[in-house]
Amino acid sequence: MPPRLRPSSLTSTANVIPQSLISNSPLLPFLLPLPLRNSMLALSRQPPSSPSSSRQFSTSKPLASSRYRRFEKTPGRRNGFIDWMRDVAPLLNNPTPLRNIPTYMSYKPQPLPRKDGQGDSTPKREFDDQGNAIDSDKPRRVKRPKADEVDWERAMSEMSLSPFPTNPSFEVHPVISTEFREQIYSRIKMGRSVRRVSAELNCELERVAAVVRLKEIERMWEDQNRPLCTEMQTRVHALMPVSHFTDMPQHESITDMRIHPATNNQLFLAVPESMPFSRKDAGDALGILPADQRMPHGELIEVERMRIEGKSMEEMVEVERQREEAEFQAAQAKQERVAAKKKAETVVETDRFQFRLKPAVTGLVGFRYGVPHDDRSRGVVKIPKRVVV
Amino acid sequence: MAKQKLFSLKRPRIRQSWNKHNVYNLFRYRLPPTSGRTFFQQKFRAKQETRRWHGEYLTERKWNSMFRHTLRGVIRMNPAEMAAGDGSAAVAGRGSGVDVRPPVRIKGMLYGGPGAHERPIPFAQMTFAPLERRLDTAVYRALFASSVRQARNFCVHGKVLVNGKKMPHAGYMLNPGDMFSVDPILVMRAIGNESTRAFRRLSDKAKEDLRTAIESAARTPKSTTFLKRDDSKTHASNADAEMEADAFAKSSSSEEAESTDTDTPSASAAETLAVTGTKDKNFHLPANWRSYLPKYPRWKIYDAWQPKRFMNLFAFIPRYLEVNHNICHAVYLRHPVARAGSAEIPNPFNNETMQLAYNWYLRRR
Repeated sequence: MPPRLRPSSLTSTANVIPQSLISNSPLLPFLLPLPLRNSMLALSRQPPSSPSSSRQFSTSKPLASSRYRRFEKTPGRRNGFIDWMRDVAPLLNNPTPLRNIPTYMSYKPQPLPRKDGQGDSTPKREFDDQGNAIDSDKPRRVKRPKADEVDWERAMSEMSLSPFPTNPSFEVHPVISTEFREQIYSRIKMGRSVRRVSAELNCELERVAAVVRLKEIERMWEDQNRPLCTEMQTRVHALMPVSHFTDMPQHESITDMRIHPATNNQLFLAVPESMPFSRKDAGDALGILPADQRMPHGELIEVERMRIEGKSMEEMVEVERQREEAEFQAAQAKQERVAAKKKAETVVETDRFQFRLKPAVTGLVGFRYGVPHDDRSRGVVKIPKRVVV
Repeated sequence: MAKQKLFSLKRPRIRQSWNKHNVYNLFRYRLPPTSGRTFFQQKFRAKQETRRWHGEYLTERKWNSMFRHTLRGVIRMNPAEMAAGDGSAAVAGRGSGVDVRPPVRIKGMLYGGPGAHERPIPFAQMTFAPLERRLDTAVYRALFASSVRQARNFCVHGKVLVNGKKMPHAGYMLNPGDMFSVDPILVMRAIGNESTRAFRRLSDKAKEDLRTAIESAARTPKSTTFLKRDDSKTHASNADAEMEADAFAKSSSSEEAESTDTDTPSASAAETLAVTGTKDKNFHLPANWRSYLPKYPRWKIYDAWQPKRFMNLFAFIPRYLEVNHNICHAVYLRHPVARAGSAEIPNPFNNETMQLAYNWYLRRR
C-alpha cells in the first residue's frame, strides 16, 4: 500500500484549526504568546471580524526557530497546567451527563452547547484577571440568569461521537443497554436460536452469545447473594451513547463480512465477454467460498429472494422453520459425534489425574528424543496461547 | 517495563491514561507536521508519536514481532441487493461493471458514481491492532482500569481471570470468545472517584442496614448477624475492605460531614451516631460494630460510586468487546476490524500519521 501523502510544500491540514473555533476558544490565553494574548482577548469581546485567513494552530515563531515543537510552549505555572486545571478542566469534566450525550474532548469553548447561543459563549472566568471585563459582565449576568444553561436539544443534534478531535476516523459506537441485554437473554431462554435472536434484534451473532454468557453469570451471582455493581453500571452507561431497546432495534450491522486476505491481491482472469461472472465464479477463481456463504446471516438473502418472488408469509415462515430444524439437527449430530469420539477414548482414573488415552502413531506425535527442547531455557516466555473454558 | 517519565509537562508525550496531566497533554497535542520533511523523517516521527501511545511499555523488538502487515477490514453486505442479482453486474461489459448510479457532472466536477456514498476504509488505523488483543489493553478498553499500565498491574498481580482461570501474563493474546473478569472492588477503586470513594463513606442505606443488623442482634440473645465473631478469616477480609471508624462518624453527621475534621477518635463514633440518629435516640453503636457488616458489604459498591475525574472523555467501549459492569466481566467477541469510514482502534492520530507509521513497520522501508 503506497503512502498517500500531501506534497511537503503544503502545510498539513491536520494542524489547522478553523478560525471560527479558535476565535472564542478558552485555549487561546494559554496558547498564544503574551502580547498577542492580550490583543486577542481584547478582540474577542468585539464582534467577530471576517475570517480572512485560516490560522496555523501554532505559537512558535516560524522564522526564528526552525526547530519543530510538538507541543505548544505554554506560558504560566507548570507549562500552563495550573491555569488549565482552573479554567478549562471543569468544562471538560462532566461526571453526570444527561440523556446519554457523551462529553468528549473538543476544542470548543463549551463541550456542551449553551442556551445563549450566537457563538458568544466564552466562559466568564477567563476575564477575571481583567478588571474592566468583570465590570462589563456583571450587569449582563443579572439580566440573563439562565445564560449558562445547557441546550439539550442542540447537544443532541450536535453530538460528537469522536473522542479524539484530531482523529475523525475513530467513532464511538453505542453499547446495548441493560434492558436490551434482558431482552436478548429472555428470548434465548424462550428457546430461540442465537441466529434468530441476532436477526430479530440487529445484534451481531457473537454479541448475542456473549450477552447470554454474561447474563448467566449475573444470575448466578444473584442466586449467591453476591452484590452487583448496579450503580456503577448505570453511571458508566450514562457517560456513553447507548442503544435502547425498541420495537425494531437497530443496534449494528449484522451482515459485516470479513475482507478475505486472498482478495487483497489482484487476480487476472481471462473470461469471455459474453459470459456472466457471478459471485460464485469469483469465489472459485480466488479459491474461497462465495460471499453468500461467507457473510454472517447468509439466510437473509434467501428471505429477500422469497420476498422478491412474492411468496406468502406462511411459506416464508415454513421455509425458515425447516432451515432452523435442519440447523438444529446438524448441531445435534455434531454433538453426538464429539461425544462418541470422547467415549471411544480409554480413560484411566487415578486419584489425581484422569488420563485419556487415544491411539497414535509413534513419530507423528510428541517430540523426538535427542532433539533439543528449550522448555527450560532462559528468556523463553511461555504465555499460554489459549485458556480452555 | 521501562522506567520513564510518563506524564511530563515540559516534554509531554500522550499516553493511554485518564491521568489529569495526560488529559492536559492530550488537550494541547498537535499531530506531527509533514511539511519540509523527508519521507524517512516523516515516517520516523509518526512511528515515535504512535508508539508513545500504543504500548509504550513494550520494547520495540517485542512490538516488531507482533506487527502484521495484514490489516483486518469488513464490508457491509446488503442481502436485498444480493438477492436481486448474482453479482455479475459488477463485472459486466469489459470488466468495469454496469454503473448503477452514473456520476453526475456539475460545473466540470464529477459527483457520485458507484460506491460514492461509501467512505473509504481507514486501513492504516489498524496498524496497532495486534496490541488490542493483549489482555491488559482489553482490560483497559473494557473500562476496568483507568490506564493500560494499571490494567497491566492487575494482570501481573493475578487479579484478572480469563475463562475463570487466573492469568498472570499481561501479554496473553485473547482469542475470540474469551471471557475475562476483574474483581469488582478493584474495578470500582480503579475507575471510581478517589475523593468521594464509596469505601470511605457510608450511605444512608448502608447505615440503615447496619443499624437493623445491630438492633436485631441486640433483640435476640443468640447472634443472628451475618458473621460469627470468632471467624477470623472473614473478620480480616472485612477489616481490610472496610472504611475507617472516623469516616463512619464523619458521614453519619449530617452537615458536619463537609468539615475537614479527620481526627475524630473512633470512640466517639458511637456517640455521633447516637446523637444524630433521627429515629431512635437510644440506639447505641457497639464497639465491635465492624463484625455486623455482612460478608459482601453492599454499600461499598454499591450506592455511592462516582466516576473518576475525566472518565467521560474516555468513556467508550469498542465494538469488539461486550462488557457487563454489573459483574465486571467482559467477552472479547472478535478481533478489531476497520469498516467504511471508521476503525475500531482508539487513538488520536489521523490517517496520514498512521499510514506513515504503518510504512515504517513494513519490512522494506
